[in-house]
Amino acid sequence: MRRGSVLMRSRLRAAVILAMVAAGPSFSAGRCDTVVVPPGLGLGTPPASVDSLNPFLIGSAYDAEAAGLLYDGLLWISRNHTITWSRSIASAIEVSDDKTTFTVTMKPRTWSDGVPVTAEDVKFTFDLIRKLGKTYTGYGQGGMPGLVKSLNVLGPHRFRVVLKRSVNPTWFELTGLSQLTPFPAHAWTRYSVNQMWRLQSTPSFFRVVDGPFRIGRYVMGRYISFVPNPTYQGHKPDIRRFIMVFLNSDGAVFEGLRTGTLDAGNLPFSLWRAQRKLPDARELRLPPNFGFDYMELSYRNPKVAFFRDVRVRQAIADAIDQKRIIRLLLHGTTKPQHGPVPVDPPTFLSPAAKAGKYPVGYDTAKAKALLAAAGWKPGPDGIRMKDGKRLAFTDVIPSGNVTGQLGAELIQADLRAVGIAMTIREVTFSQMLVLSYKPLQWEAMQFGWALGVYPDDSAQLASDGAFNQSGYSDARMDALLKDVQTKPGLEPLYAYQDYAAAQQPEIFLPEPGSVVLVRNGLEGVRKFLSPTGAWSPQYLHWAPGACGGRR
Amino acid sequence: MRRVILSRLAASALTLVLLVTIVFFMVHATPGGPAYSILGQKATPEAVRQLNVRLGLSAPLWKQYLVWWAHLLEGRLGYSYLLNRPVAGLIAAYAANTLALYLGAITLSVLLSIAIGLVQGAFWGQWPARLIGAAQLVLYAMPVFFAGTILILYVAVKWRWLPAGGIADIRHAAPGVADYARHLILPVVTVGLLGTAGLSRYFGAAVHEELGKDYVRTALAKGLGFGAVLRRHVLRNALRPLVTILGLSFPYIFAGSVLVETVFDYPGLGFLLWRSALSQDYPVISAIVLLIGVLTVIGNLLADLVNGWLDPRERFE
Repeated sequence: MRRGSVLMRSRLRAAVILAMVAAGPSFSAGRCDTVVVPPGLGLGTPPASVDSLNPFLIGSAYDAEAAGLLYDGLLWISRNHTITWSRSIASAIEVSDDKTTFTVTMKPRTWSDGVPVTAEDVKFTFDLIRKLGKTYTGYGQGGMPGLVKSLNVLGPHRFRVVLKRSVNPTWFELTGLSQLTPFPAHAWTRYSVNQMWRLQSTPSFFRVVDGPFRIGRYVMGRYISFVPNPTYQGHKPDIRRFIMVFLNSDGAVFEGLRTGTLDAGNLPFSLWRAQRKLPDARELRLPPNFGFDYMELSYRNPKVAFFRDVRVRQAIADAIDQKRIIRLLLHGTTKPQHGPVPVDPPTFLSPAAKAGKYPVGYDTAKAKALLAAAGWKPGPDGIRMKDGKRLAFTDVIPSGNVTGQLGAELIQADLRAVGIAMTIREVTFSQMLVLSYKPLQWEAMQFGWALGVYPDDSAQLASDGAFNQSGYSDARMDALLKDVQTKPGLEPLYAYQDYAAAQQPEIFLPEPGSVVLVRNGLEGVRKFLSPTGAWSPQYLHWAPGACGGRR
Repeated sequence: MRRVILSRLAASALTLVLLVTIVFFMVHATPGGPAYSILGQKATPEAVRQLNVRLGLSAPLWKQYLVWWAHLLEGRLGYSYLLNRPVAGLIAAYAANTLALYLGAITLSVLLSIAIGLVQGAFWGQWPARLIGAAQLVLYAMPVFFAGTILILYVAVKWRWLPAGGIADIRHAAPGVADYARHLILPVVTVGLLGTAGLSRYFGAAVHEELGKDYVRTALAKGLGFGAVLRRHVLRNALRPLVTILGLSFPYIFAGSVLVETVFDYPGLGFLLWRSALSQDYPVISAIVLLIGVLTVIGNLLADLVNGWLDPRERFE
């Protein structure tokens, strides 16, 4: 769900990276029934390892990528954030007139051991989510599980979810109902939560699957391999083995691509020019993940009480030249972000946002005027002052991310140009998390945020949001967010995003797009990678002759 | 000798208790905690509290400390928070890789040190010894990650003789011994060469010192050839300091493994320690530190025993 901890990198690897960059071409041919990639492909993040395969307990996107190969979802969400029925286990959803009851019909499917996939498996999933409480990885999303009054099994392939209140059906289907992936109740029901916790990386626990792959081998610290599930009822994999190899740096990925041990890997912005050293690889540009970067502002810390003034927040947003950051650091892979709804895909953008008409945008004259109107006058050193207090704050950023550091420095320069002093402080990501819950110990922080399938950010922006560490509280925002969840149609979402763009409760920043280098001959990569993070390696295949006829 | 060993063991046990205690409290004092690493940005205070209860981290620190020792005395090293495996099994898997790497590196280092040291000692004060001395200094000053990078750059990337990292080619469902060996060469050479710099210097000085002693002069005067004197008499006596240094260098070897295993993406104990430190996986950190401590004690003890075997005088001291 989150991208942050992956920002930790080993600096000593810089030398290795340089060595790889300086080296000559090219890929060596590999065996063409196998595809090898690092976890995190397409996320634009450094590689890491898969440490858990239990979808209820996973903490990282890397784990989710692996677990997603084993179990098919109740609902498959497309690139445009709509339900693709052909790939979903559900075949239909009936919604009651009062929008409180959802009756779901499932297609007949079987587990890899021949037992049918039934509504009882969905019930098992829901009960387990309830039992896990706040340690469940998707807790709170789509109102799960607190919003659900009951889940009743109506038949082998039919169940009904009754909610405590009326909801926006699209919102609940995409963010709540989509979490009810059936899991093999007959195989798992004898395990307690604690036992599941201990078995979350034990392959034998996951031997009953209904997804396109099953686990071939899991070697701790090295790799996990998957082989096709022979009983899979969807698109059959073309490859015989799919391997996620655990590496510990971008340099190692680059080296793997160059020597042929990897078939695809992320190209970090810091190695942008190095791709010329890989003539046998092609570049694949992917849209940003469904989320945004942002500067979180503390509304609880009295030292930076000026953040409570919307004019100051708007001035900060107006002062930042996002296009320059995108051009210089993100290599044009993304677009400016001024509101809480990601610009790509445009499915959920309000008409104003679609037209690029935001209440804020790079305009230093406007930023200066706003600050002046708020009573902040330039001091002797150019930094604005009001009642003897300087307009200054400290921005905490995660250490170890070169692009992130440079981005913060560009923002620092932009803010200084309008009279705001920003000091940058780097700490480890876990320190940032600890700090974020200590309101008096931070003033501003830069994070990345991955949204669910529906861009409702009540978790951060509602007064009682589960991840509202900033203390932001606005009655109108709360009402608009409530509308997003309860009223059908996209109008409430439009009203909320336009208001948030004007309010800048946090300073919205562009989410970097990602660039993947793919070994020539490997096809189906776009279908394999989904913007929602789910992987479908069953669509990967090698072009005829790509491996010298050794297929 | 037995008394010496027993007293050494008693002192070592105390050292181990202190070491593990200090490390236990230090890692727990660092900000954050494993719950934050596991939950990521979803780490709300309530979720952290619930997870800490599950992981046994909600109890007071002194209680956790006592539980850790109680488990240790029962032969249990705990459960990795991050990797979800028993620590003992994890360490066994990773230690085997590290052992293969360091047995290879130490063997290479000792053999090279003996060869180089004999030449250096024999030509002490002359240009061959000075040349060797300069090379030793350069290698000694070279950080392990730098040497590893240079070797990767030329041997793996430019000349393509050997793989740049990993432990085996994962494309092979069942890699053979030869594949493992190929992947071992570069890290072994990196650690071995850097280890040789210090060891051969000590050994060279010891050879030089031995060559100046009366028994060497007597042997030469009796008509024994210089090479035979070196082989039969000087080598055995000069080996003693080498063995002591080798024993003492155990902890440094493991400390160095963090860097070399990271550079070569080699899944050994150092790599595991590095990962565990980043995610604050307390049980794994504590267990590895304990293991390093135990190995250090064993290394020192072995050095004493081998020295006793090499020099009968030590057995009676």
